[in-house]
Amino acid sequence: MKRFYLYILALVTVFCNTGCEDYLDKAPSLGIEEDEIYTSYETLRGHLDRCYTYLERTMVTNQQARKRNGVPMVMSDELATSLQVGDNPLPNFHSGNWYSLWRNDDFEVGFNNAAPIYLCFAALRIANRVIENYERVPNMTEQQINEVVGQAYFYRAWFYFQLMKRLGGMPPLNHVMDISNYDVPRLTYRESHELLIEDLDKAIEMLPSSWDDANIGRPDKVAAMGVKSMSQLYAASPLMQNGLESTVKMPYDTDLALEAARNAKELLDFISANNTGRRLTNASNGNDMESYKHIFYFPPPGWDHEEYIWWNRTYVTDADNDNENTIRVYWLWPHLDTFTGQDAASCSMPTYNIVKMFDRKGPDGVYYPTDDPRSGYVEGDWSAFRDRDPRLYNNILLPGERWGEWNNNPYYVSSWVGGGGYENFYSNTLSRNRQFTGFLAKKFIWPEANRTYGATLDEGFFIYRFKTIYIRVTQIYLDYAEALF
Amino acid sequence: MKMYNEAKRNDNNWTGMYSDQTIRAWQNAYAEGLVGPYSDIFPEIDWYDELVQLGTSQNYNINVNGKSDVMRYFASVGYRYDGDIYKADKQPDYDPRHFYRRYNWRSNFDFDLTKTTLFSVSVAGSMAYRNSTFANDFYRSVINSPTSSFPIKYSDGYWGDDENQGSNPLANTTANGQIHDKIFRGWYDASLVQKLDFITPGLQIRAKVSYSTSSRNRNTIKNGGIFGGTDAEMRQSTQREWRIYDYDNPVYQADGSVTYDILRSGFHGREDYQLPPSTSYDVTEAYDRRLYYDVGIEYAQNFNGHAITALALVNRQNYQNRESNPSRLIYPKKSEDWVGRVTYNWRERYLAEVNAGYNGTDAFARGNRFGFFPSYSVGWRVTEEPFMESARAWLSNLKIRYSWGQSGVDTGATRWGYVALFEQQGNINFGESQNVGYGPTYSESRIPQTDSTWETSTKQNLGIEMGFWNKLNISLDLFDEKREGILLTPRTVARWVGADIAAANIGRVKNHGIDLEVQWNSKIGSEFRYFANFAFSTSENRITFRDDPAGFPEYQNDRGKPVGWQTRYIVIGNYYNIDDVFNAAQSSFATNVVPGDFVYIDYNADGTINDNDKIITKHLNYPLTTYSLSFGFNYKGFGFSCLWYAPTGVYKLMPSVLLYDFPNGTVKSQPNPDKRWTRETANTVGLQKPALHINKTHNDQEHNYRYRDFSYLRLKNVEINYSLPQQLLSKAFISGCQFYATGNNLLTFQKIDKRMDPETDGATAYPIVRSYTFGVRLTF
Repeated sequence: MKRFYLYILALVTVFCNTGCEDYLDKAPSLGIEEDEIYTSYETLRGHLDRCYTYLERTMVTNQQARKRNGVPMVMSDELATSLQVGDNPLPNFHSGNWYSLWRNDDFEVGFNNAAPIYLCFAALRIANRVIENYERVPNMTEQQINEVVGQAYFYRAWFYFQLMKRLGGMPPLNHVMDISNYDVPRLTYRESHELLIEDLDKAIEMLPSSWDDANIGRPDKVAAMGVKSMSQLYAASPLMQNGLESTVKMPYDTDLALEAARNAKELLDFISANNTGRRLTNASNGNDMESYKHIFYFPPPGWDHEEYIWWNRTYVTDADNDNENTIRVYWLWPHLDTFTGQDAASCSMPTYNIVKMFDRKGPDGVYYPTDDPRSGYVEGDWSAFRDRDPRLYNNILLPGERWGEWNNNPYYVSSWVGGGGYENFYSNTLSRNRQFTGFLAKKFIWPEANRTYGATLDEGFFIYRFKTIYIRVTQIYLDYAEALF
Repeated sequence: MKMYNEAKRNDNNWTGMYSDQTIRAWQNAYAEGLVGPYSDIFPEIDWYDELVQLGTSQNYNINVNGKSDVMRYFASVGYRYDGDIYKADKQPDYDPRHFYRRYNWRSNFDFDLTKTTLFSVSVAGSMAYRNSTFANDFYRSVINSPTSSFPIKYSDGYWGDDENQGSNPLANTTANGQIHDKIFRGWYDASLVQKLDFITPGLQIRAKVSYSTSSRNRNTIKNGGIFGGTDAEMRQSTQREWRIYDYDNPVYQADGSVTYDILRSGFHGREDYQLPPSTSYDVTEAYDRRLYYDVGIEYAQNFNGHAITALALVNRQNYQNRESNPSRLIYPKKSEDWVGRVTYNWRERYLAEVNAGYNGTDAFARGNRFGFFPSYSVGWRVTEEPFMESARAWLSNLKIRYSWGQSGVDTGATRWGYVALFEQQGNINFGESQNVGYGPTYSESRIPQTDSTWETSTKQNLGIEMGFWNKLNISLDLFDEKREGILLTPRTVARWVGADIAAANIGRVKNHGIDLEVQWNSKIGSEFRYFANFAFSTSENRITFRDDPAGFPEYQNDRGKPVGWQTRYIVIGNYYNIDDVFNAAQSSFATNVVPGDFVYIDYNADGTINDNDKIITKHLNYPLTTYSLSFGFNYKGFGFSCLWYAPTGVYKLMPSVLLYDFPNGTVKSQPNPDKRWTRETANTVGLQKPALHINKTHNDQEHNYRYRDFSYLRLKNVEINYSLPQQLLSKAFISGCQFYATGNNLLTFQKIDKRMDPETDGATAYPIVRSYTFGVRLTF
C-alpha cells in the first residue's frame, strides 16, 4: 500500500515539476520578439528600412500600385481610360462614383492592407517605434543615432504628409498604438502641418547633407528640406486653411507661403554651396538635355540623376514583366502591344481638354490660349494642330508622326477614326462601349516600345524602366516661384 | 442557334453569329439523323452519357475474438473498394480511372498481469489508395462542355477538340495522366488499470498513452512531362484535332449527297513530340500526429442503493501537423486538462452528477491559459417512486432531467497571438549602384492580445422522457446555449494603429431550440414486429454582440442576426423597355443591359447598385429545422427498414451554369431557353428568366432570383434482409447468415433543378451518389 502512495506521489511530482504552465509555454527559440529589434544599430535600422518598401511606385503596375497608375491624371481630367484589367477601378472615376470604392478595394481611397493609406499607417508605426525606443539600443554612437533616428523622423513626416494630402488634417499619429491608445482626436490641417514641420526640422538637423556611396538613396537633409518647403506650400493654399467644422473659401496664408519660399531658397542655396550632387538641368547643355529625357524612364541600370531630391529607387525587375505590362496595357493601341482580351481593350489616353490647353501661335507670332481668338485656333480644322506650344509635340503623339518601326519599316501614327487603334478598340466587345480620345501620351513611352521588337531584355519594352520621383530640383524652383507669387 | 444569335444581339456583339444557311444545314442534319457523338460534321454529345457510368463498390470485413486465462483478444481486417462513376480506360503508361481501395485493421489485447492489474494494447490502422486524374472540375465539365463543336473522336481516330485546346472532357480525363494518393492512418493505445481494493473497495488508478498519426503521400504520372514542362507543353504529347466546317456553302455531290468543306482545321500537339511521361513518387502532401496521455484515480461503490462514482484525471495532448509553405512540422499545439467527476444514483430514482474541468491551452498568455468549467446535472425518475406504482401499467417511464454546464473553446485564437512577434525579411538595397544590401530587415507580424482567454459556452438542457405501455416512448428536450467571449479579430480598432491585431474575446451568440423524438415499438401476433421513429429538431440563434464598425449601415451589422447570415441583391423584375434601362439606378457591373434583364433595387437609394445594396435574406444556408422518419418490420427472418430525412429552410445560390443559357459561351443552352422574358410575356407573371446573353455579368450577381430553396425530402436508406433459420445453419457450423440488399439516396423530392444535388453547394462537386448494395453477413 505504501508503494501505491509512492506511485501517486511520484506522478503528482512529475506533473508539478514539469509545471502546468511550463508545459504550455512556447518554445523560446521560435520567432523574433520585440527586444531583439533593439540589440544593435543594425537591427534597429533593419526594422526602420521596412518603411522604404511602403513608398509608392505610381509609375508601374505592380502589387500595391497596381490600381493606381494614372490616378492623378484621371482625377484631374487629363486622361481618359478604358482600363479593365482585373477589377481596376479607374473607369469609376469617369462616372464620378469613385468614393464607392472605399470599402471593398485596395484602391487609393480604401483602407485595406494594400491601399496606400493603410501603407502609410504601417510605415508610421515603424517610424514611431524607432523614435520611441532607440534609447534601448546599447552602444550606438552619436552619428548612428542621428542617422537612424533622423531617417525615422523623415519617414514619419513623409508618410504623415501623404495622409494629409489625401485626407486633410489627421490625428497626431506620433506614438506606437495598440488597442488601448488609438482613440486620438483629429486635428486641423494646420495643426497637423505643425507636427509635420517639427519632425522635418529634427530630420534636417540630424540627417547628413548627403550619404556616402554605399548609402545613396536614403533620405538626406536635402530631401527633408524639399519636403518641408513643399508641404508648407500645400499648407498655405486656401483649402487647407479650413478647420474641421466647415469648408469655406479662404484666402492664401501669405506668411506661410513666404516661409515656403524662404525654405525653397535655403535648399537651393544649400545644394549650390555644398557638394550634394544635386543641380538643375542646364537647358543649353546638350548632354544635360539628353539625360533629362530620362527623367521618367531610364535605361537600366540608372538610379540617380542630378535633378532628383527624393525618389524611390526600387523599380520592377525583368522577371515580373510589370514594366512591359504597364506600357502594353496602359499606353498602347492593341495592334502595337499585341495583347488580347481585356488587356487589349485597356488604354489610357490624354483627354481633349488637356490637349486644348497647349497654346497656339497666332498670326502675330505670339502664343495664345486656344480659346483666345488671336490664336487662330479653329476647332476641328487640320490647322488646329499646327503651330502649337512645342510641349504638345513633346508630350502627345499626333497622327502622321513617325513613331519607331514596325517590322523594320518606319511606323507612322495613323489617323484616329478608321485607323488601326480605332478599329481594334471598337471591334473589341470589352472596349466598344468605352470612351477613347485617340491621343497617345508619349511622355511615358519610347518609340521602340512595341511588340515588333524583341521580347528579350534590353529590347522593345525593356529598353527603359520606370521609377517614381517625388521631388526634383525643378520642382523646388517652381515651388519657390509659386510661393513668391 | 437562333437563341444564341438573340443572346449575341443582346450583348451588342455582332460577330460570330450563325447564318441562316448554317441553321438550315443543322436542321437538315437532324432531320436526316446525321447527328451523333462521333459524327465529324454534325457532332452532338450528351456528356452525361459519355462520362458517367454505374460505379461499383465492395466491402468485406472479418472479425475474430477469443480468450485464454490471462488474456483476451480481438482482431478485425477489412477491405473496401469503390469504383468510379466516371468513365475512363486504362492507358499503356498510366491508369486514369478513379477508384478508392482501402484496407483496415484493428486488434485489441487485454492482459491480466496480476489479479488486480489489467494491461491493454490496441493497434488499429488503415491504408487507402485513391486513384484519379489531373482533370479537375469534373462534374462541371459534364454540364458546360460544348456539345456540338467537335465529336469525341474524329473519324480519323484523333480526339476532337475546340480551336482553343482542352475543351474535350473525355480527352482531358484520359490523356493527362494519373494521380495516386496513399493515405495511411494509425492508432496505437496502451492502458493500465490497477485495482486498489485493498485500500478501499472500488478504488483503482489508471493510466493511458495513445498515439495516432496520419499521412498522405502522392505519386503522379504526367503524360509527356518528362522534361518537367508546363501543362500546355505536356499536352503536346496527345494530338487532338479541330475542324471548322463551312456550313454556309454545302457542296452537292453527283450522287445527290451533301458535304461541307472544312474552313479551317488543325491539330493540337505534334506527331513528332511524343514524349514519355514524367513521374513523381511518394511526395508527402499531408502529415500529422497526436500524442495523448493521462493518469487518474477512479472510485465506484454501492452502499444500500447509494451508488457513487468519482474520477480525478490529468491529461495532456500534443498535436503536430505539417504546414505546406514552408514545408515543415509546426511547433506542437499543447493542452493540459485536470478533470474531476462525482456521480450519485439512488436506486435509479434520484440521479446527480457534478463535473469540473480545469483546462489549459497554449493558445493564450501565461495567466490566461487555464479556465475552470463546472457543470452538473440532476435527474428524477418519477415512475420509480412508490406512489407511482399504480400507474406503471400505462405509464412505464417518466423521467425529468436538467443539466447546466460550461465549456471552453480556444479554436478561434490566433496562434501565438499573445506574443509580439517580428519576422525577418529580405535585404533593402541602397548605394551608388543600388547593390549594397542592408539587412536582414524586420517587420512586425501583429499586435498581440495578451488578455485573450477561453471563450465560454454555457448550456442548459431540460428534458422529459415518457414511456407508455412499454410501446410508445417520447422524449422532449429544450436547450439553451449562450456563448460569450468568442475569439474574433476586432473590427473597431482604427486602421491607423497600423498593424494587424490578434483575435480577442469579442463575440456573443445565443442559441436555443427543441428536440423531439417519438418511438413506437410493437408487434402483431408473435412473429410480426414493427417500429417507427420520428424525430424533429428546430433551433434559432442570434449574434448578440459583435463590434460592428460605426460606419456600417444597420442592415449590414452582425449584431441581431443569425450566425452565417447572408446578403443578396433584390431583383424586382425585368426591364420592359430601353427607357427603363436608362432610368433605373446604374451598377458598376452592368454590361450591355437590354429589356428583359433584371432590375435591381437600390436599397440605400444612393443612385448606384453596389455591395451596400445587398440586404439580409430571410433564410440561411444551413437547416434550422429537420425532420426524420424511420420505420420497419421483422417477420420470420425477413426484415425491412427505411430512413427518410428532410431539412427545411435551406436557401443557397443556384450555380449559374445551371441557371443561364450558354454557360460556356458556346451553343449549349439549358433545357428551357424559350422560357426567357419576352415582350409578350412581360405582363403575365412576376419575375422571369432574363434576356439571353453570352456575357451574363449583369444578370449573374448574387440576388434573390438565383437564391433558391434547397430544402428536400430524401429517402436516405432502405434495407431488406433475410436471415436463414438457425436449424439450417447449425449443420454448417455457421451461427448466423443474413442476406441483405440496401439502397442509399433512392428518392429525392426537391424544388430546385433536378441536375443539382441539394446536399452539395456547387455544380462542380462530386454528386451524392445513389447506391445499391447486396451482401451476406456471416457469423461463425
